[in-house]
Amino acid sequence: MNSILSQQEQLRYARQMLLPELGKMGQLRLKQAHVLIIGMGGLGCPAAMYLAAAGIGSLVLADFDSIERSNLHRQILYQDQHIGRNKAQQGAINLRAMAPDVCYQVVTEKVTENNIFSLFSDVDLVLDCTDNIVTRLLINQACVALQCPLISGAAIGFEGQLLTLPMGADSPCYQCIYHSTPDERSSCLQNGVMGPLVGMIGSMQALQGIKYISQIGTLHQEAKLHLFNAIDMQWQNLALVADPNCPTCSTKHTRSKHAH
Amino acid sequence: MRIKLNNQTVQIDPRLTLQILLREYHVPETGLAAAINNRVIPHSSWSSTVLSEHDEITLFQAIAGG
Repeated sequence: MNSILSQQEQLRYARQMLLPELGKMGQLRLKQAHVLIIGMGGLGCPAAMYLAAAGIGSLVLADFDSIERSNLHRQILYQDQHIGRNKAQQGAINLRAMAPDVCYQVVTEKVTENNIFSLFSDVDLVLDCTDNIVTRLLINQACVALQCPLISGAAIGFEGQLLTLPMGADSPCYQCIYHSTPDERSSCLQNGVMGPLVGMIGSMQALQGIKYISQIGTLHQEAKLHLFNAIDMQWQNLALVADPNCPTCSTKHTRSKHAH
Repeated sequence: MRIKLNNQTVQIDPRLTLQILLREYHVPETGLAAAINNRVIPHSSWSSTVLSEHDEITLFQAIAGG
């Protein structure tokens, strides 16, 4: 049934299917896609909402954390009454009410090196919506190993970053950009973050994801990093190349050169 | 010669490498990324990348929040 759109679906997605870049073919690609979202916080909430609303076939939502009162200014899937509940579980309940056609899977365990590969089965695209560097490096390593495209978002204070990595044979990875692990300058816990900013970055992860899956634009060929400053509302777009000495992906590049 | 470092015009010696520039400005390298004219320069090329007049250098940090 994944190769046709029901009448209800045609109505539901009519306004995006009107876009010639998407059309019926793009909508079917969305319906056939499996997307893994790791982290259902300030980035994961809007990312999941827009992907679900757009008609992604299957969403895997991973978060071990529970909803706290201090999350609610930015984690817009959740309400006061959900405090204490697991984010992935509650997220799936609320998303299902909004977009019931999507198949939701929930992972409530913490993502570690022991279980990360099990999350990736049948996954076409990963959204990194996490809040810490250790998990970010782990997700990057798994995406490199499986050549799984990765859309990584991050936000702190008034600063946002959006990174799209197609993970093809010659494409760079997260560690080609950040060679060393920063100290935890960077979590919302210690530093604070503006709600609409993290919402923007999460929404743009969904936008990039929709474009990637429906093959709009050049995301398949090009890795891109976008930096956003929310105080002066400036974007900076940066081109990326693979680091031949990258600790994570350089062996992959060596291998692929030998293979050709 | 003149370059721009995070939008500030600065005067530097000619033939300076990116690595030496960071050292001269005491920029901590942990979690740091660098771009010249909107192209990210991988860390392993910092010491071999010679800066040119009017280069626009962007230094930024990995952030992890979400």
